[in-house]
This record gives sequence, structure tokens and C-alpha cells, in this order.
Amino acid sequence: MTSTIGWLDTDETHRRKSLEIIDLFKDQGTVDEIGIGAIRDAIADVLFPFTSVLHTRVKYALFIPWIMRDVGAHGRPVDKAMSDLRWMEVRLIESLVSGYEGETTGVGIIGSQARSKVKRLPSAAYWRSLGGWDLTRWDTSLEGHLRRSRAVGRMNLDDPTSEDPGSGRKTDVTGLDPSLVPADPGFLDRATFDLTCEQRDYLTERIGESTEGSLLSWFCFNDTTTSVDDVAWAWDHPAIEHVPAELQTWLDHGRRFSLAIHGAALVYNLLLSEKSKDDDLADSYRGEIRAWRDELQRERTFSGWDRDEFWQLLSTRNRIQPRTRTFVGMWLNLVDADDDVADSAHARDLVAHREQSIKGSRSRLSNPAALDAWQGRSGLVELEYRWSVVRRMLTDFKNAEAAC
Amino acid sequence: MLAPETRTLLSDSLRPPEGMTLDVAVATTYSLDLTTLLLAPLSFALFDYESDDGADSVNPLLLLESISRYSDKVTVFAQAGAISVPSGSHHRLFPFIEGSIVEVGIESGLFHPKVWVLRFADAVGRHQHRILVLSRNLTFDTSWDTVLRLDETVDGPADAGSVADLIERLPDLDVGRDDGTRRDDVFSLAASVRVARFAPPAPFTSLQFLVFGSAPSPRPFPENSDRLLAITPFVGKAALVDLGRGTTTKMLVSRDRTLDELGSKALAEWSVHVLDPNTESSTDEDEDAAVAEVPSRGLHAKTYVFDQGSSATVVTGSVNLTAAALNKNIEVAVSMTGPRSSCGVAAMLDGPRDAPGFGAILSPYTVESIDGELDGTAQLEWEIEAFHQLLAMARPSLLIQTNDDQTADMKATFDGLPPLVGESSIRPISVKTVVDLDDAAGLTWQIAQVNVTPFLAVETTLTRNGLTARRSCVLKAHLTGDVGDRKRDALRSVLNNRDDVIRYLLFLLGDPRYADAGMHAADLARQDSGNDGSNGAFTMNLALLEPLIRAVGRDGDAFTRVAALMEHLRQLPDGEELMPPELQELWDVLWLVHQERVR
Repeated sequence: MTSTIGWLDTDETHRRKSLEIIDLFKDQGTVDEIGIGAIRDAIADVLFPFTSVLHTRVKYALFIPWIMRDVGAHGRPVDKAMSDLRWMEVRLIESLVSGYEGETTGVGIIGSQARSKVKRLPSAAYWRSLGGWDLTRWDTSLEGHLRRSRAVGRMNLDDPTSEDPGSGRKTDVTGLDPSLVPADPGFLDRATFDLTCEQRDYLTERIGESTEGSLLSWFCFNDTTTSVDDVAWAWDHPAIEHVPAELQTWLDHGRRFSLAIHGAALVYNLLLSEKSKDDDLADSYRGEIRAWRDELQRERTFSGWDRDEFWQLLSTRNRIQPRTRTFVGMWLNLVDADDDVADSAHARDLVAHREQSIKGSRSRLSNPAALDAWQGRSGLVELEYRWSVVRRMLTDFKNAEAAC
Repeated sequence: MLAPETRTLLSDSLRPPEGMTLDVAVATTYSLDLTTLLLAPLSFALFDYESDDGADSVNPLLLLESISRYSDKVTVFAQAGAISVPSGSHHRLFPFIEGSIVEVGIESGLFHPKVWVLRFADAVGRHQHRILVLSRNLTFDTSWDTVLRLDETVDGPADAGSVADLIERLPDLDVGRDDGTRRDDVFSLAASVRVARFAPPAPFTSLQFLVFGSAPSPRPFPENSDRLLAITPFVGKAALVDLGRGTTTKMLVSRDRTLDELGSKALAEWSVHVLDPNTESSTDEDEDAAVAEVPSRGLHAKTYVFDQGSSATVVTGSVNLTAAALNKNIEVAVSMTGPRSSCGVAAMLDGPRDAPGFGAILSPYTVESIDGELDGTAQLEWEIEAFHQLLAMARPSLLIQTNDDQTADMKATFDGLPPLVGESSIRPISVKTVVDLDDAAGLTWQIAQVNVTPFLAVETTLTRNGLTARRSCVLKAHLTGDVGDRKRDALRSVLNNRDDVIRYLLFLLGDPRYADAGMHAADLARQDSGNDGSNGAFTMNLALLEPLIRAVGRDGDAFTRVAALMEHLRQLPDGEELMPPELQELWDVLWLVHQERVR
């Protein structure tokens, strides 16, 4: 076995959370500057369980089990199985690159730039989701899965009664869904993310059943054929009025919150541009804030918004820190009362104080070097609760329709 | 090298190689969370687990199985006075881990190394060693820490002589009453690891262990370099000057509090950075602590990278950049050399967008104060820490007297209390009632017998000049009086019904290689029998019968484990109820057969 050096995680959950944060980090827009990630995640998990910002295309939910089945079938010791797994996943990267004939921009091939130097494999990004969607049946880590697969396989070998077909004692060796659709022949040589009809049906059934009660499940069972290319937000989906009332409520709260809190991120960037003495940039943010105020009016964001229900629903899902709740509560009250936040001392103080309380002396507003490193725009992608990931999934399902 | 996405689980690092089991393990740490000792054996027993809720979310039978097999093989040496109050308070299985914990201390300086030395063995007695050099203590911190894993390699370039020397020395550093039960294991491990050879991870080509705290201290850092990157949460001015003397291009990554204390003048020649605060998730549940307190998240790694021509040297381990670490404490680090192109500063900081380097999560930092602002509470915290060490070294003792009504009286005494610092309260970790430490006669409690524990939690508050510091720690006391068989009582509290007993037996009889599969089989067996554990009748099941019979014939170890369990159960007042009658009968027969074979 070879020596290794790395960053230490206490368990799988921490590893996943660390990877997700690093991923959000790669894009300055998605960084959570004002600390509302817990609310964002609570809503996203209700609507689209087991989706993740690390996801790209839904066919990975088939590629990974196909690869795991191959690796598990060889029954090699776990450390060798893990390197087999890595080798096959790197092959998959090359296979997909071939499949798109090198035109890989925007396609969503994980690792297309780093290739064999990729640090985070698709299996790490999708593993928890595979468990949540019942595509894998054992509640273990990926390595634990390979270990159990090997152990159970050997137990079956040792056990003489397992050769007796009538004994029914043979234990499932693969840990995968028994009805997993067969692998595309040669998928490790040349592959794309296109789904066959059978594959689409299989995935929508599995995902729909395992996430029952969610919006993701509703889409799987009721609508995978509407084009969603142009649908910027989940709540704008054409079929939304047919969705169960409870989900519509969550969507409604999500929509209102996304727009309302965006102003805080805008004010944050305004404060940074003023502090950097960049008048042009500050003016452009003032303009954006005005446009945001207009949109609040048009969307009637605060009209009829039951904010008590909002907090009550959130508390059923995630523990929201008291400080976060206070900040968000105060922000919403301010905007509701008077949305001229660009010049409101109260609003500006609130946002500045928020950054200070989460980042301490490393906050950009109090630390000149950090301010200098600011690239002019940060944390301004509006909350969409992983709709973009789901939109891509639905588009992949819709495209399979043509093959049916 | 050390890209942020290169992550390792501690449980994976502890897991035995294929076909081997744990033979003996020694761990060293500064601070210790008792719950980690409940969970670490799970890795030896090949179980997976999530530690989010601590040990409470793990099936107690799994814990029991792994602990009863492995905790006798694990000894942990921790700084006296630095055992932390476990977040989940007292766990009923703690009696199994008490023997593993040795509190140590040195005259001047701290016991600070974070190392695991493990020896695995296979069925025919072949050995394999592994050494883990970490920057994290044995706690559940979620800070940015490194783990270096070194597996024994036949032709490896390095030997672990200095590590073996340290291990041999450990029993002498014990501040408690050394009962010597672990000495043999510790010396045996030191002897075998002394002749093992180790190789660094690729692409490093050379490796050297650096053990501090026994004269002479090693000189860990190259004198000159072309470029230098220092990652360390704590920095002393003199050590900083010494480190950077021979280099012009130097970068320091540390904590904001530390940098503020140093002041911009001391940092003038350095490019100063912190971890970008956005890397610390605001969705973390334990974020209630104010940012100003020492975070259990945040930077904690101690890694130094030196570019020298076409090579680079990396030093990583427990060593902070302070005079205490370099000259007084016991520390362990490793120095490795490799090609600069893959091991040097640029290799560490840079990377493509979908495999970012460490630099991607850093943020530059300006220190406002020129001469540095001293943190007043740090001095107070240090005083309390020193006091807690002295308390631990004062050989606390607990006298137990059991009463008829399932309660016990406990009285704590010390071999001479050190001068008191601040205000302190003390309690056994299994209860909430505190007593003031200065009330020497009043250190008594009446508690349920099942809550008897040698672990005492002390909390001290010190206020001076308007500043307040608070610290708690756990002391391990020596139990005397009606101690009883606490392991047996803990066992009883975990085995609640016959179903539990059957499942536990399946574990005991299982091949550890199949431990995971064994749990699987246990679930299947339960389903097959259609029994949900709540009714009394239980049909003996093939899953249990075969292994029992096999154990008599072939597996002496398994048989001994089952025999021990049977004895324990027999001695319990309600042991009869827990034992299915068929099992009892079968066992009696098997025992006779075993006797015959042994004769």
C-alpha cells in the first residue's frame, strides 16, 4: 500500500460538505457572502432531495453504478478496487470527451480539464445521491460498499448451502438496485449523456419513488416532456399550478426569499465598491439596486407573504442559527417598510455587521488586503435552489422522449 | 500536492489492510475527546460510521463488538489536563475504554505529538506497520488539518528509530498510577516498528522522522531557500525570524488572531494570508461560538514548504512555529524531499479550475496594528491550563461505596491539591450536579450505580482586570472501594433482550474479515426468523447454529469470546431472561465438547 498525504475529514458528511463549499468557491458568484446557506439548503432539499451543486448530468447516476458493478464483480481487495474505480472513472472522462468529439464546453463532463489529474471524481459527487435515490441499497460510504461487496461475495463462496438454488440464502453481492438497467456496450470507450427510453423510464421511476413528496418526484411522475430550456426559475415552470399545494407553498416562499435577500448581496457589493473608492462601480451597483427595487414592486414580493409561515416551515427542516434568523428577519422588515436600502444607514449597517459577525477580522470591510483581492463582484448569483441542476436533468429526460 | 480536494478520512486511515487485523496500536495526542475512543475501534472492526451525532447514532451492538475486541489493543497517551469534556457526556460503554487512556506530562513544555503507530497481523502471524502523522488531536474538530499516512514498505528509505524511542519512553511519562498492564504491548510495538522501513508518498523521494522533546532537538527547517510557504495557526516572533532568515520570498498562512498579535512590523517581509472565511460553512451547526473564540474549524495544519533549486522540502506534523514547539514540547513531524515541480510552493498553491490548489482558498490579510495586540485572555487561559495539568498530576482518587438501592456514594480526593486558580467546579461526567473544588470535604456525590465513572469534569473560570477566561477538562481518577465489574454492567445496559444477545453472538462468532457482512447476515437472520425481539419465543436459526458449532471445532478465539459473554450473562441477576433456553442447552453441550477436545 502506498503512503498518502491529504486534508483530514472526520467522516463522509464532513467530506461532502467540504467538497461542496470548495465547489461553490470556484465561482465568485455562488459564494455565500452573507451567510444564508442554511436557508438556501433547507428549501433546496425539500424541493429537490439528493441533488447537489456538484452534479452536472443525470446519466452519471447510471455510469457510476455500472462502473461499481464491474469493479465489485472482480472482488479485488479494497485498495485495489478503489484504484480500479479511479482508473475506470478517468477512462469515463476520456470516453465522454470522445463522445462529444472534443467539444466539451458546457457539456458537464466532470474532470474534463484536469483529466487524469482530477482530484474529485464523479463517484464522490454522486455517491450520496445514489443512496438517496435507491440506486444503491447499502447505507455505507463508497469504500465501505466495495468492502461489503467483497466480504459478502466471499461469504457466499464459503457457504456450501449457497450453491443450492432452493436455499435462497445467497446474499446480494452487488449492493446495487437489482433492476438496474444494463450498461451501454462500450460506454468506457465512447459515451455521451444521451439517455435511451428505457434508461429515462428507469431513472424517473427510481428517483420519483425515492423522493416522493418532493417537487423532483412530481416532475418525474408527471412531467418530463415540457421544454425547460428557457425556464430560469423553478417557480416559472409551465406546469407549476398543477403541483400539490404544499410544494407550491415552498416554491412561493423560495421565490420571495430569493429576490428579497438579493438586495442584501447588492448592498454588500455597493459597500465594497465605496470602500474601494471606485465611484463608477458604486454607481453601477446603485443602478442595480434601483432595478431590484422595481422588480420587488412588480413581483409584489412582500404583498401577501406570510413570513411567520416561512420561518415555521424552515424550522421543520434545518436548524437555522439565531443570528442568521435575526439578520434575515431584520433585513426583510427593513425592505418591507422602505426599500430604499442603498442609502438607508440602517440597511447598510445591518449588512456590514453581518459580514463582520461571520468573518470577523477577515471580513473585506475591515481588512484592506482582503478588500484589495476582491474582484469587483461577489455572491450575486440569485438563489435558485439547484433548479439549474434539475433543469438539466429534466432536459435530459425530455430529449430521451424522441427515442421512445 | 495538498490540493483542497485531496481529502482523507481518519477511519480509512485506521482500517487494517486486507486480510489483517489490528495487533497493537499506540496513539499520542495533546487533547482527547473520549468519544473518539468509542468510535476508532469501529474502523479496526471494519465498520463504517458517521460521527455527526457522536457515538449515540451508532448501533450500540456495533460499538460493543468493536470495543470488546480492540480496546485492549489500543493505548492512547494524552496530555494530562487536556482530556476534553465529551460532547455527548457519559456513554454507557466508557468502562471499556478507560484502560486505554494514559495521562502523561513532561516537566517543561507540553505533550503535543499527534501520531498513531499501528501494527497489524494476519492469520499466520505476519506483521505490517503503519504510522499516521497528523496535525489534529484525537477530537472531532472539523478544522483544516493534514494527515500523512505511511505504510511499511520492504525497501523504504527511512527507518522509524526516533519514533520507536519516543514510544518506549511513553510509559515513564505517565502521571497517574501506572498499573503496567500496557507496558508489554507498548515495548513490543516500539521494538518491532524500530526495524520497519517506510517510504514517503509519491512524488517525494526521501523521508525523515523528526521527534522533538528529547535532547538534542532536531533542526527541522533548511537554513536557506528560494521560496518558502509556512502554514501554521500559531506563530512566535523569534521563531518567525529564524524561519525566514535565509529566504527573501516568503508567505505565511495563519489565523487572523495570531497575525493581529504579531503586528505588521514583525510581518513586514512576509506575504500574509488567511483561509478565506467563505471556506467555513455558515451552515455548520456548531457555529454558535463567536468567531473570536478559538474555532474548532479554521486553520490548524502545520506544514512548511521550502523550494531549493530543483528540489523542495516539506515538513508536516504537530509543530507550530513557536519557541515552545521547537525547543520544549514533545512533537512529531516528518520531513520529506521531492522535485520542486510537484512538491514545491507553486505546486501547492496553483492548480487548474477544476482541481484548484491551496492558494484558491486563501485570502490576503492586512494586520492593522504595527507592534501587535496582545490577547489578554490568552494569558488567563494559559494559567488555567497549567492549573488543570497540576490537578491531573495530583493523582485524583474516587472512593466508591455501593448502597442497596442501586445507588453509590463517590468521594473524590487528591494527593495534595495545587494552589487554586480562579473558581472551579467539579463533577463526575455522568451527572450534572457540580461541587465547588475548594470544598475539599464536600467532593461527594450520590449517584446511580450505573453512572459510576473515573472521569471527573472540572470547569474553571478566571477573571482579572475585566477579562474572563474559562476552560474545562476531564481528569481520570483512580477508582477504589466497591468498584464491581463495570464492564459487565455496561454490557448489560446494551443487551436489552434476547434478540440483542443473538445479534451480539453472531458478531462474536463472525470472522472479522466479514464483520460488515456479519451485520448484514444478522439482519437477514432476524428477518428470516420473523422475530422482532419483543416476544419471548425465539426459534434457533441456522445462521447462529453453524457458526457456534464451527467455533468449537476450529475457531478457538471466537469460542473464548462467546464463553466470556455467557459467563457475564450468567452472573447477571436477570441473565436467564436474556438467554434463549435453546441457546443455553446448546451451549452446555458445546462446552462439554470443547472440554473434551482441549483435554
